[in-house]
Amino acid sequence: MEALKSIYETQRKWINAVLGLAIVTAFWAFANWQVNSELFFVGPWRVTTYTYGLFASGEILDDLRISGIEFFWGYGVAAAAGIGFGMVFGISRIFREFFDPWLSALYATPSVALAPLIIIWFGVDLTAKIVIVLITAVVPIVLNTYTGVMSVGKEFQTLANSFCIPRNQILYKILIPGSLPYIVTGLRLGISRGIVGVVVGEYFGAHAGLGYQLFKGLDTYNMPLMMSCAAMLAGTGVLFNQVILVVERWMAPWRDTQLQE
Amino acid sequence: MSSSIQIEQIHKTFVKPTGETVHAVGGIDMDLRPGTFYSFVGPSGCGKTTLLHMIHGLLPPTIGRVLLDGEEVTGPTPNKAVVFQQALLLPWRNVTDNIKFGIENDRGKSAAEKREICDKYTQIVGLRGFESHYPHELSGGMQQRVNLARALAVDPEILLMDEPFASLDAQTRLLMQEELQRMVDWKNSGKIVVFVTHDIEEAVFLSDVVFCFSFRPGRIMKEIKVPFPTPRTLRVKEEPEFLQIKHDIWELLADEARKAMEE
Repeated sequence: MEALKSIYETQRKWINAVLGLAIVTAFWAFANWQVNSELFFVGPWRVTTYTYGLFASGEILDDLRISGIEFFWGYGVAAAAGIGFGMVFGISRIFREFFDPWLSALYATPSVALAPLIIIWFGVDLTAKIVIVLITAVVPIVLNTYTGVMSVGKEFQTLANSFCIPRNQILYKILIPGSLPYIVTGLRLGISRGIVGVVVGEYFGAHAGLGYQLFKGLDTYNMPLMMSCAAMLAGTGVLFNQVILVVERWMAPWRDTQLQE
Repeated sequence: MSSSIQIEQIHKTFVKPTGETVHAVGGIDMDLRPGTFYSFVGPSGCGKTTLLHMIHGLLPPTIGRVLLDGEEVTGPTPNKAVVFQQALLLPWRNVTDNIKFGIENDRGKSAAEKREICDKYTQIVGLRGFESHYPHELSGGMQQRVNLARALAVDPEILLMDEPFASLDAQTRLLMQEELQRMVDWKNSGKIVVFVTHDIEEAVFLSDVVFCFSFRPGRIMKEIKVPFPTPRTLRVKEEPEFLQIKHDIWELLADEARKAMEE
């Protein structure tokens, strides 16, 4: 008993996470048992086997590849541009004064509303989807980088100034490392928004992709397919988030894990 | 070589965001000689930190000027260094890299020399064994030691200390006061040390000369020479003459402190 207790004490985070998963799965299974209609609901076991089947037959692989391409290009450009513009916003007062209202406006605009326009401008192929992922993911990255640069205390600039550090070095000696935690938060928020972008983009006409399969499931009353796609999208989000956290721990060992979003 | 500083009729006024004008420093003259420890004591808002920043060139005076060896100070230079009130260590740098901050741009020194300098001051401030620790892993006292080592590493002729012990607990503070004499060693190195503090006892204990500041606009009410030989031990604080000096300064500052409190 003592031994079990000490295992629990040291590993409680993991054990509790698994227990939490078990509780939710149990409710899910119970709900499924109550509904008992595959048109409306599918249980955890069926989703698992169905997903496995999609992989085993290979029919989902092309969709994963297409959605992956959309996401990685869109998100990659969003990350680079977002960090870049966020830095400029944080550093340049004149740029801030000119464009801050526009950034706020972009933040307030549901990016879903822009998707139809982008489809018109860029067509229904890959480029349009990449652009949709880009504009959905870029906003939190810009905003958080911007906030991060602003949050680096003026006193650190005074410090650099007092030690005769030239202005251009302040960027990489103070501002970039100082805003890194915020940048990481922006990148994490960008992931979930980017995945939304993938689904939205594929809603407006697509030939393949996880979002496409999801809406195909809707058209064909294929509940297992829909829930399987939803689960895969969720899983991808969780996975990428963890990747970012690992990267952060590697790049910023001075930070303990932080939770501000 | 050792430098001296002349401060000539210096004034500083600020305009607050509310539009109100604040006359922070109101005409100060000073002559600072090498190998001497000076303290600025006075109530909050008496312009002592402002004056410190003007000596370094972080702020321009509104009227008057600061001369370093006859040359007007127009900005920070590597022969002056500040020890800040908050340690202001870069959280993403370990102890060694924080200490290195002020010398890493020095092209006259090789990487090996810079490493040696860091080692030397890590040793002097007593942080051997903590080189690879990050600031959040250090106590407040240790952070201030890094803060001091970072300033000492540039080997400044002028060391400007802005209430460096204000955030330390009382015991750590006493120990740091005693140790500071060995760590900075201004008598032998010929440095000018300017130390800003609220704490009269601290000022008297450390200084060769104490400048007493009035409340805004800050002026020098009195310049007091402290006669005890250096280095001093904490026991000097119990001597009647020490207590007398401390008492005299308090008499002088009490009214000013009251003005500051009512502000």
